[in-house]
Amino acid sequence: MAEVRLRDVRKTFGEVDVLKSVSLDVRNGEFLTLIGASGCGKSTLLRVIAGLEAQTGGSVEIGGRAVDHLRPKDRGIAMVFQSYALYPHMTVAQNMATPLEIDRLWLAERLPLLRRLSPRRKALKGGIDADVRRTAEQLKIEPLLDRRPSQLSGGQRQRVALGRAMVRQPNVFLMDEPLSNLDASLRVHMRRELAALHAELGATFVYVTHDQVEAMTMSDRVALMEAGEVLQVGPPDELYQRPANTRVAAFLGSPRINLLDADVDATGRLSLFGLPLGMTGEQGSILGLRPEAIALAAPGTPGSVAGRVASSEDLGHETVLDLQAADWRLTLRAPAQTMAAARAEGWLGDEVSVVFDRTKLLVFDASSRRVETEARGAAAALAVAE
Amino acid sequence: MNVGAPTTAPTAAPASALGGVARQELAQARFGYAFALPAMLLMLGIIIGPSLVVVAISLTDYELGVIDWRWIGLANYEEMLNDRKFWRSISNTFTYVAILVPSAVLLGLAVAIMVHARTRTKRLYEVIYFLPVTTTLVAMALVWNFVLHSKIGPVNALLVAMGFEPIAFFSDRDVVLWSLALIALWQLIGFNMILFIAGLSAIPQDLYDAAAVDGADGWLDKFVRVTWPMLGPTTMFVVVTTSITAFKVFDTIAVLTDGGPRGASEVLLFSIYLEGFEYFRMGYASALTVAFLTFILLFSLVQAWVIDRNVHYR
Repeated sequence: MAEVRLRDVRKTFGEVDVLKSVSLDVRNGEFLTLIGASGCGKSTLLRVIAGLEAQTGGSVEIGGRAVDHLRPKDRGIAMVFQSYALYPHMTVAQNMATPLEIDRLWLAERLPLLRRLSPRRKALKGGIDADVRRTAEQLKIEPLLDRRPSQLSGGQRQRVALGRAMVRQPNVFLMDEPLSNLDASLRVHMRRELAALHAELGATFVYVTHDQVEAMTMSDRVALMEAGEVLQVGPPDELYQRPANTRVAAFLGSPRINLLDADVDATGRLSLFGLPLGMTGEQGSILGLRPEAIALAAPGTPGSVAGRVASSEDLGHETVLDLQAADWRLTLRAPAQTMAAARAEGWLGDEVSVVFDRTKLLVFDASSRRVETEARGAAAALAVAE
Repeated sequence: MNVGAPTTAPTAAPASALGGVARQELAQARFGYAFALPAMLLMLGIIIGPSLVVVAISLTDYELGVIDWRWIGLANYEEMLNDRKFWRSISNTFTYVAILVPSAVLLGLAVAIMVHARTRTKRLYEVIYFLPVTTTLVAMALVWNFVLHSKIGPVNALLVAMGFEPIAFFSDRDVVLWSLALIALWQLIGFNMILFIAGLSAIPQDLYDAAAVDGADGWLDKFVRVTWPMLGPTTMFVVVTTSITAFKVFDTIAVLTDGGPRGASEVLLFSIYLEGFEYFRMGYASALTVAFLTFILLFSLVQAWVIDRNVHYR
């Protein structure tokens, strides 16, 4: 069993609070992704879990055991680094054998020259080689065992780094942006492999990334971090569909969500671009509209809003349009078919009309926390997620 | 995983175009040589030319200031090989190198590791250890002459105070090379330290982190698995430069011992100086110089070959 429990973990570097009281439970066997912009503290949090960085306050438990005073090796974790951090002077086999050698051999048996004197070493070495080979088979890197890292491609190095992590059969894998040095197509491929590996090993994965596609596609749950705090933890679709606040909503989704100030009349009724929304809210409410919640419409459609086209990017399967409507910038995505139809109907000019899908409207209160709305069919009136 | 190399179908060029391509390549090659020519001439004029002149002089009986000279073939070399003083200076040179190189490399590395571990005082220590490098060894030799003086020197005063016999640092035949090596060491440690610190700074922190996760977090494990192998190229450079510096020792000997006592500190370069500029026997001095250059070349080649195979991880 290897769940990871963080309680009020704080970390300061001099005057800077890198982690401000982070509490987080990673369940046994879960794939949890820490996501956030660079500098949000996600890598520091991972290093605290690994024991490479001592926290300023709070505690870390792995598998029900406090590990605050333990060295990285004794925490039952393995780590994969963004740079892979393979030892360049060792072959792949030696790289993968390193954690086992340190675990199973005495210090004197690991030193150059001196190690030749040990008869015990020979016996243990056989077991180590067998374990390395078994892991190499699992990752299909046996043909590479005698090569040096400099003779490998990026994807191969990635596998070797995984192999070195797997060989000790840890309960928890910590991964620090492991795919960000790979090219785009290989990244897609390795995403699937990592997900498959997670399913196969059944170990707990804590995965750090700034790439929301990685977070959305691989994770059981995502923890979104900003400025040293966890803003929301939940399954990927929950963070996307029901963000706790505007910061979560703005981070996830590409192109970015449209956040607009609602017009609120004296009785608290909300409207947007002069269109009543049929819901109430407090002064200063903010409305969130994902680009896919806005659709092209025929000019003059009731309830539509006209905007000047500021820019359009044709991505092939869809077109991302930027509109200037009244004082607001609106981003929407139109599938290729819709664009073709709109063009045929003559809807596209300097100005285009759009309509909103009210069921997908997100409403945030003045302190930018999301409020449940009846339009979404949610039962609770003012429930705020986590 | 598909490891097969991508194969491209050879594109057949039309026969008529072949001549054009070849001509173009020839013109390009000519251009290339033309651009390289000035550098080649310079190299010929200031490195290779003078070396050949030295080899030529070594085959003559030329003496400085004498108008007549004649070719005498390998007579100078014959004399050299039969000269007891030549073999003594060879042995002195190699003893000196054998004392200085390991100590200067290992102590430079040790100091570099310690200074590199400092955070706020790192710059300060770097400056302190580098100071000797900026001094003139001839001037500092006078200071060392006083410090290690057999009668009035403070080191001997200390030894005597502690109940030891005083040491004749520059007049004992068995000690003099060690004393000279000590002075050179004092200067070389700072230089080697700077080179090693540059090497240490280039080791990615990720490797130490990975080693810590793998369990290699004791200093010995870290040193054996990360630091030492990663310093390979730096170490090779330091060993080669230190060896060449050691081979070229001259100034301290000229200032402090004049080759004495009774030739015990007469090294190869000092013999060359004596033969050429004291006895004016340029032909013989040139033969010694050729021997000297051969030694340095061989030494560098062997080191480059041996170490190169073990430090470049490709």
